[in-house]
Amino acid sequence: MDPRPSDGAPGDLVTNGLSFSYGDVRAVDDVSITVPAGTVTALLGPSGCGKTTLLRLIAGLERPDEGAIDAGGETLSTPERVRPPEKRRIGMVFQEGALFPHLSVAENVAFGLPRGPERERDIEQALELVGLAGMGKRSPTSLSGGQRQRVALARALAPGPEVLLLDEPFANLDPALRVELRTEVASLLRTLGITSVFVTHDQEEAFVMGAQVIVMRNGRVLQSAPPSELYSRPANRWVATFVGEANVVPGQGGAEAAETIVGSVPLVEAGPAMCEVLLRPEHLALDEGGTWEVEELEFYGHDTLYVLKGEHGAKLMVRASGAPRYVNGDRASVRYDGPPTVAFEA
Amino acid sequence: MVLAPTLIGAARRAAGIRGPLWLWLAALVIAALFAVPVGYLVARNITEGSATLSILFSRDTADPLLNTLLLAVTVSAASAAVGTLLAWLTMRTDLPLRGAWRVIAPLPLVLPSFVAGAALLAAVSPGGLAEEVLNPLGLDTPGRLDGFWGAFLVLTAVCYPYVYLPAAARIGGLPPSLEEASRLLGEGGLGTFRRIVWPQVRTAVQAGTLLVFLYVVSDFGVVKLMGYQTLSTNVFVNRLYDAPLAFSLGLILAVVALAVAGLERASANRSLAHLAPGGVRARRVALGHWKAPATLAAVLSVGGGLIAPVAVLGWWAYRGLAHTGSGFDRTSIDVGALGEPVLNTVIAAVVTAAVAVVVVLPLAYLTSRYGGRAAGAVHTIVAGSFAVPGLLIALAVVFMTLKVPGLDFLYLTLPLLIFAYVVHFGVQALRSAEVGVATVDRRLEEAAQTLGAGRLRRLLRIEAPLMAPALAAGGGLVLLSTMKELPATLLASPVGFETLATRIWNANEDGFLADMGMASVILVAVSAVLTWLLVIRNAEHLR
Repeated sequence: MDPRPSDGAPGDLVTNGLSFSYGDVRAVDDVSITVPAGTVTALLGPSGCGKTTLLRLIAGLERPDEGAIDAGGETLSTPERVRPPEKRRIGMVFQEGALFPHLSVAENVAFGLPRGPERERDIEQALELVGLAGMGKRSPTSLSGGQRQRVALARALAPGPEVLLLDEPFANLDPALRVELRTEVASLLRTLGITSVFVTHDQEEAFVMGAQVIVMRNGRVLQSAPPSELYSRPANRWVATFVGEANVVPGQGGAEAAETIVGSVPLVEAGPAMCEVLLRPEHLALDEGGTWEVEELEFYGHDTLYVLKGEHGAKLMVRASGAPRYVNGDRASVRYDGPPTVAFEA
Repeated sequence: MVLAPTLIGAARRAAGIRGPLWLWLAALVIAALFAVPVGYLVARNITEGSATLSILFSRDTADPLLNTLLLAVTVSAASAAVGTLLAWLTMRTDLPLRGAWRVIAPLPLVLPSFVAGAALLAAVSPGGLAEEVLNPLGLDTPGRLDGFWGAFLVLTAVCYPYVYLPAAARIGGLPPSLEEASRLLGEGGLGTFRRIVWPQVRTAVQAGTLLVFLYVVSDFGVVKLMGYQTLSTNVFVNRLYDAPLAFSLGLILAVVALAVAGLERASANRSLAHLAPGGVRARRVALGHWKAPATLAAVLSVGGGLIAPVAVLGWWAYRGLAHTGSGFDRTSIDVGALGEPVLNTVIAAVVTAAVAVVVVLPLAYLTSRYGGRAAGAVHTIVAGSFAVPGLLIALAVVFMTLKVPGLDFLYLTLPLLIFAYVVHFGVQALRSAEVGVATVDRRLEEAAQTLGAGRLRRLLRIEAPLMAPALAAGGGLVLLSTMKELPATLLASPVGFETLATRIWNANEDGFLADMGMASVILVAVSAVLTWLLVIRNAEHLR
């Protein structure tokens, strides 16, 4: 669960004990991660957690204070020597696109391409890849936000980089467009099989984009795992609540289960005697009559979220599929109806 | 009955006229007044048609014209290079003491060029600072530096900030991600400057270079001091005994200035990056072994334009104060005698600034709020009056009041001087006022209207407080320019009305170097405070 020791296969992007400070603030603190070749890794964390700084270190835009960055078996950065960004073959898509406003769409895409007979064809191919075929003559200022990010992606991909970095590329788009574009980009990156790092503060986006998700907080890596494992077996309470809705209730751990206010809950591994147990709302079920009172409910169409009040002021979120079956003030009982879960040291 | 308003409306739309009629009437009167001096300049040349034509193609004209163009082009090019280089060094590299350079680099702006020129000449004059410093070292005083090279050096040293300020603001506001994206796409540092930074900065550099060009063609003090014959010195010298020649040369000068201003406007680049909201850390280019030469270049630029002249003037002023005396001694100062020029300068400058702000306000409402081609034309007239050298504007109004029947009561009066100032510098107030009007969201006014506030109450309670900072800034710029203006003041001042600028000029001509030093130190100190408050502190907002 802890940051993996970094001894990746050839072609992997690896950072080893990387640290970087802005003045007194340790933005990146002893970070060791491995981005497996040909896959997408999402860097997830709240704003200010150091994920963008980590990306800039990988791009060669900042010089590490400690540690090293290796890619494809070569060392790119150490505190002594940083290979300049223009010599790294790393592409980057910026949050605001950073399209060159005085160049046309085609000229933007062509910026990193060598001169030669294949240039025109490469430009057209790159634009086609992002669904903007024939838009080369347009000016970036005449494009919508989504189109601009597509151009930025085409520009970064055109020179055939070994690693692609994406810094919250959808953050400035409206929600519907964001969902549409992320699905498209996720499938494009998987098809191309390009080693990518995708920075986001949005858990859903991280899960959709990343084969592996790395959670960062205060400059440190808290966990790196595939999305499903991250969700079902978060490393600690903070990660548990950050990657999804969570009830964290006190419990008494045993070898295979923990005793909690909702009865016995199966555990994936033995829990400490005094522990906190993660109960995802969709893993709880309601039965009529009992000690819990329905305090609030929100109907979302595909499911309903109940907030229940129990004895001693305890509260639980329960998510049940379908339309509401209770009204405010109804009494109910709660039971655990899910896979084995995790318990944290209290 | 219904037809007439409809027709008027159609005609107004066709002419691109938007906005209330009363505002237009006010604007027309004001624009007409702004056009008067240039109009008179043209009219004089037409009435003396045959003489003008013969002068236009004579050798008398060719030499000063070529000299003017040579000086203006070389100073513009040198200022553009120095200003852009300094801007890039201070904003995007690891030049030592960047923070200090950002404050110091624009400061030569506080020196009127004729003061800097006089300082340079005073330094190498007998008994000057150069002799005092060099002779004990066993070195000879350098010979008198004059002519083209003297004018070129002094003008470049004081003019490069006109390029530096907009270029630095532009580079500083450029999203660093543009340069980063270029680097990540495989372009090096120099290539990134050439392909990404320069196209974004070009318009700012161009606009600044235009100001330099206009400054040089209108300059009178430096070229006169350096004995370099240009159109402006010829206009000045000939005005008394060959007025037709002065007016013809003046027309040529005006045409040169207006043509270059027009060309610059037509070629401005419109596809610019939106400036970043700021606070983004920019990657610094490591200068490596270029660090020492770059620092030296910065020291020389600022040293020549600011530190050397101020040191010379301060030294003369100090010497004068040390031997306070009658005021007729070359090296002493009658401090009391400076009271009147200071007072006159303040009166003329403050009144000019106030009048300018009030006069341009209706124009600002039209151009900023209603826009359209006609409003654009009004703006062009006001902006054009700035391109025309102040010398010519003063020349035109002085001769007009002398020759046109019924206007003689204005001849060489304070109102006439202020009129010339307002016409020449009005655009500085106009630009700020336009910004001010634009900051007043019309919805605020509509909200006030729904709350029952009438036109006057809205103006006093809503618009005036919101616009006040911009109006004050515009007035301040006019104040600063007026204080520093020499040729218009020499030409159009009432008899016996001495300002600091004319005092410095006359003291220098008469060889009262201590007097000149003292008056200069006062002028530079006041203009330094104003420049700091109005220009440098707000450098990001400059275009």
